[in-house]
Amino acid sequence: MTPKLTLYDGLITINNVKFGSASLGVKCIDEVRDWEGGAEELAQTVAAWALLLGLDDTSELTVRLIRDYVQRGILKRPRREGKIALYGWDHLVQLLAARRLLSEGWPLQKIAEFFLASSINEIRALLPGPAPRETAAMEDPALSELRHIRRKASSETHPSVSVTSNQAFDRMRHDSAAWLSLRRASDAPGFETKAIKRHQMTRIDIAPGVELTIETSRLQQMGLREAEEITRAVGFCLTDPDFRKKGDRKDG
Amino acid sequence: MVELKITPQTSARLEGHANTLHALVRVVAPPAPDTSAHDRAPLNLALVLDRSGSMAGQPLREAKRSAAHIVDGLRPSDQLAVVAFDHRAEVMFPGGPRGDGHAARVAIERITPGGMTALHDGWILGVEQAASMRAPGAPARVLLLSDGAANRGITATAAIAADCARMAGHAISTSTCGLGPHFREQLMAEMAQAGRGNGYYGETADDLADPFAEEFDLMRNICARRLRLQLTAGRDVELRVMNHYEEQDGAILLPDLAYDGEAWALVELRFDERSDQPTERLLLSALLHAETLDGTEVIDGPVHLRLPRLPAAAFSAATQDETVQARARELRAADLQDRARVAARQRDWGTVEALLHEAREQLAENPWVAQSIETLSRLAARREMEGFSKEAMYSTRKMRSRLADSRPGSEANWAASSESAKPTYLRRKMAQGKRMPRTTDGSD
Repeated sequence: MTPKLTLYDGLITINNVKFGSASLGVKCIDEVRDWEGGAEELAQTVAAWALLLGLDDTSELTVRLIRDYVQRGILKRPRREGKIALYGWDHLVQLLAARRLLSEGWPLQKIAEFFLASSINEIRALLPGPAPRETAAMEDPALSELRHIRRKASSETHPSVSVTSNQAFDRMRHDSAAWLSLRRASDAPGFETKAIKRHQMTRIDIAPGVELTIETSRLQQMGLREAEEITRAVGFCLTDPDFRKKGDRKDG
Repeated sequence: MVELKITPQTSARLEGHANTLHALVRVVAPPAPDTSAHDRAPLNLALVLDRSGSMAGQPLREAKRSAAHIVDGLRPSDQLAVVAFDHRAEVMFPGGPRGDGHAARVAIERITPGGMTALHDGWILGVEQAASMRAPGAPARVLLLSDGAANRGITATAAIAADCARMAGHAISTSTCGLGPHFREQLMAEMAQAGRGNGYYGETADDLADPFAEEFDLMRNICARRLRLQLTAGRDVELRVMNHYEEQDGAILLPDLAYDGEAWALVELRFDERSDQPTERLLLSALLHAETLDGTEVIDGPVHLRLPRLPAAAFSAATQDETVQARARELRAADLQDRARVAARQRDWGTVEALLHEAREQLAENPWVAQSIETLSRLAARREMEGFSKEAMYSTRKMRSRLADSRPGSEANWAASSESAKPTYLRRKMAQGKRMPRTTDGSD
């Protein structure tokens, strides 16, 4: 659906969604904090805001995609009134930020991890427009204390899922830059693009210094029997004295 | 509003001798207003459920049943969030009005057992949800249901408790509910104490029915919080607070105060009586700082304790205050139970029996204490170390920090039937880990 932009009496209307800004050129998502709507309205509103904010990714956003993002943890679960799922400003911000990160090459899983470890204001800070100074002033000081606790926890322990938002952001920016440079290299003349394959991997941190990396699609399709066999194999590696002895040797 | 009082054990000092006497410093709440509980401000509650592998089976089933009961006990306007954690914390029901409760119950039903136990991460997410639901500064509560077997992320009891204390400073308190026969009581109890909440335990949802009723009744009837009591001893007087309360910046942190209740601290005063001491001598001064629910600062006091000096014959005729004596017996029982718990964990049942015997001999006049000792005696007789340790810990903490019933004559005697008629948060239970019996003979 191509967003339709119209101007009427000084109001900006995008896809029949009116923005109550008094003058043109105001592009601040904070002005619609009381927004609420269903999944279809969310899709329309996000598309309109993506256009307004000048985000690169203006591809179609469907209700099905929104539900998928909820399942992945990129969007928090909507509020329910009976059978109706209602989305709000937080979801607008999350979706717009997610689409911006996607346009920079970030994988969905990384986006989900980053959002999990971040406050809504930190996610909001990813969007263009005036900095949310007024929202920071209104923020509950308990949340500032909580972010301090999160960061301290992340710096003291082996990262499990709760990574600090700043470290995660920096790391993912680095990963993104590396990914983009790889993409550019693959487009260079003489480079055999068909030789490059992309796999989405899931890393499971079992314990400090112990991790399992498995292709995500295989994990999703894995049956109980295969899982048990892998578990037995791992157990063997960890307990068999000969195998462990060989593992200590520098030559493998 | 609240009233600060000091009640001495006796009405006089003994001339020419070293004196040791107790004084009860009391913060008395007003009676419950005519406004019904349903008209008061909505609660802000984040439920945090442990779904790690160690909870698999009955503990998780009971946790889910308990959580569903909690949802049923809330009003549509109460704010609720549900978080579950194993090695990863997840919001199952985002913070918002409880509504008809159906969505929250469905979210709870979807919780299945998982992997390791990132308890601190789960608690953090619960705190975040609690903060997101409330107006900044408004009270909120995180209720953690877990076996306390933290093995991922931050696991040290002191560190987790310190974080609970930090968030309590922002009016986000933490209560804990220990589940299963082998839950880690030290961590769970310290989180509740540092988090300015309450600690409960039980094996089944039925065991937990009373604690959850108490938790919500208390939250709906709180009239003052962040009670900080400053005590100053008179000249040449030694002062010791017997309750084991937390202290901060020279003030004792008392429990939140609810209608019809009183928060209290028993103080031991030691001093010598010399001939040059004044006839009326200042022994103790108290000052209270507290906050009402809307954050208004309340100051009461200073209140002073001055007692006249009497010769031995007249002193022996002076009356002893029964309430002060009863509280002193409770705290003495708490100390003996605490020592018995340490002995039980070392499986030194000889010492356990000796301490319980001493408690029965010295403290039989307090019927509630006598019932508590009897509960522990049954566990000791069966050599149930885990059960004894948990019951002793929670009973000890209850005796040291409970809200007493401030209504005249309400604590003179003890019977299960009369306790059942009181507001839940003022009841004196004979067993902390079991539902209060409804019959007069103590059976269920």
